[in-house]
Amino acid sequence: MTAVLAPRRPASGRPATRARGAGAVLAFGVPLALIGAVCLAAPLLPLPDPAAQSLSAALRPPAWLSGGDAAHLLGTDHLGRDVLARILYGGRLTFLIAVAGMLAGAVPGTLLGLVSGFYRGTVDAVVSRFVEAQLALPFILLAIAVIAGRGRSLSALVLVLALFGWAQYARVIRAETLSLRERPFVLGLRCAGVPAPRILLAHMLPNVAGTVLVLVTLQIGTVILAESALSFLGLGVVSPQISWGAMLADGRDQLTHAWWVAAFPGLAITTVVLLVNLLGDAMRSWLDPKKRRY
Amino acid sequence: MTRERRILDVDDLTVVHQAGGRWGNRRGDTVAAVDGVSLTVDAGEIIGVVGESGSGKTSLAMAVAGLGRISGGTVTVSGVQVSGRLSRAERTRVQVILQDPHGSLDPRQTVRRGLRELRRIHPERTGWTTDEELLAKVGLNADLLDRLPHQVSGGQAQRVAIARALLLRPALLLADEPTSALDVSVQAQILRLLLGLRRSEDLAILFISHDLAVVRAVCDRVHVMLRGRVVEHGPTAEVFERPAHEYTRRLLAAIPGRRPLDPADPAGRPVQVTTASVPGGEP
Repeated sequence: MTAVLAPRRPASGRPATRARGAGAVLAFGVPLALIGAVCLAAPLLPLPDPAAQSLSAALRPPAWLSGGDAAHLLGTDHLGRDVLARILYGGRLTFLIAVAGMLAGAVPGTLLGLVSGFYRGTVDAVVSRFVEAQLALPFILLAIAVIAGRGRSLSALVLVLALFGWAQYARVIRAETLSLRERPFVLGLRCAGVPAPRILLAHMLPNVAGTVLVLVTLQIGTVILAESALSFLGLGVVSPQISWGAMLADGRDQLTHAWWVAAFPGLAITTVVLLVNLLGDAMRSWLDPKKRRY
Repeated sequence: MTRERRILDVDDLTVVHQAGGRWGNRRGDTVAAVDGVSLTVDAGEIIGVVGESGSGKTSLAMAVAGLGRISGGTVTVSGVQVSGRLSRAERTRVQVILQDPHGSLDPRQTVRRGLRELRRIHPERTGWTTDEELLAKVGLNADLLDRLPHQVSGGQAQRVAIARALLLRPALLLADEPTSALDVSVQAQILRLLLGLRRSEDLAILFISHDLAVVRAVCDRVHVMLRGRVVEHGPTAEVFERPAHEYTRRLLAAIPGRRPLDPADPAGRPVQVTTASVPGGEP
């Protein structure tokens, strides 16, 4: 006599996991979208003019500290400008630069990585040498060279950020493509007469999209930090344009007696970079067709 | 056999690989993975190629599929010589089925989208059937069409791979270890499917495997490869019953179940074959 186990009801695991994945994306995406929306809507909000100076109201602490003023919720800087208004207005430019700088690096970097990993040979040798040369150049030196040549402008800033970013994409996507092209399905596609450019764009690209997404989110954080560093050094945005990095630079001199001037833009950078990274991680697990193997 | 039924003609094929990378190989060492192999496959025939790892089976397969190097000799498929300059339609006359059933499908493409892609690239060759009919031919239900590869079993994935190959109406099906990654009951189903297709589609199949039991079950004729050469070939029954070459005898003796496992050798060590002079290693 054999023992027979009663059949168990099949566990319906997949929909739940899928929903939880979407939940995490929303949990990080919604706050990020809210921050973005508030920054975009800054001109519509009842805020003081971010460029209006008032030396009599300089270095006011945040509203909840003694000496604070309800009109300046997060205090004022050394020229009496409202920190909250400047953060929101500065966020617009920071987001714009981050997205433009990220795209300008991600698109060429990903394509070059795909092409060099897929075709190998001479293309690969050339691209790989450029990647190595790029990675060997110090970022700040590169930035100074480009901005010295082109002058300080938004487009020069985006160019610097693109030059800074593309090599990372190219290198990682090349490695991923190299392993992907050896998978059996690629052989099957070649055998079925699918043209190489189509294999590249319709099969390789979707399969590296998860990696690109993770890189993009990591890179957006880095790009925001790089923009901040450049503005801090005076190579970034030009006053009266405002970015968080430039605000951080302005607050540096008052750090000992007026911490809020630097702390709140710093907090904004930290929050946004953290949210972007968490969102990227959540999106990767959400979009992955299977979280097992490969 | 009449001339028209000859699908594949491999004549004195040699495939030479460079040993080592482009920079690490200053001496120009080479390995002959396939060394003067000749074989033919006619329509409706299943021809087996057996041999251990490194015997040159896969190099032979890649050359036949038009995807590998051909260093010497000729490969002719339906009267057209395989070379680097094949038109797209000519290349698709050989379709492959590979060992890893899940790896044979793009993980991000549903079955339906994959078939639609093939139809768009080869509209003139794929109009003969609908997706549903095609899946029925390989014993699959049409509700599989909207699944991703990881949502089907290994056996189903292999059937999808076979369906994709059939869609292009190939003259030759190249099956490279098609059942090695499947469990035994699924293996039998896939083999039965291939046998059925051979009959219904009059398909020529080149069946490459290291699994002698499987080869014995499906192949009409069998070629035994060792170090890039065919050391013995003939009708399957003959080769299995009266192996002429020493290597074949040793291989056959290694089939589990043919004789009781040696109790003195519980590890079931693989058959000892002198391969000391074999150049290179794994392909």
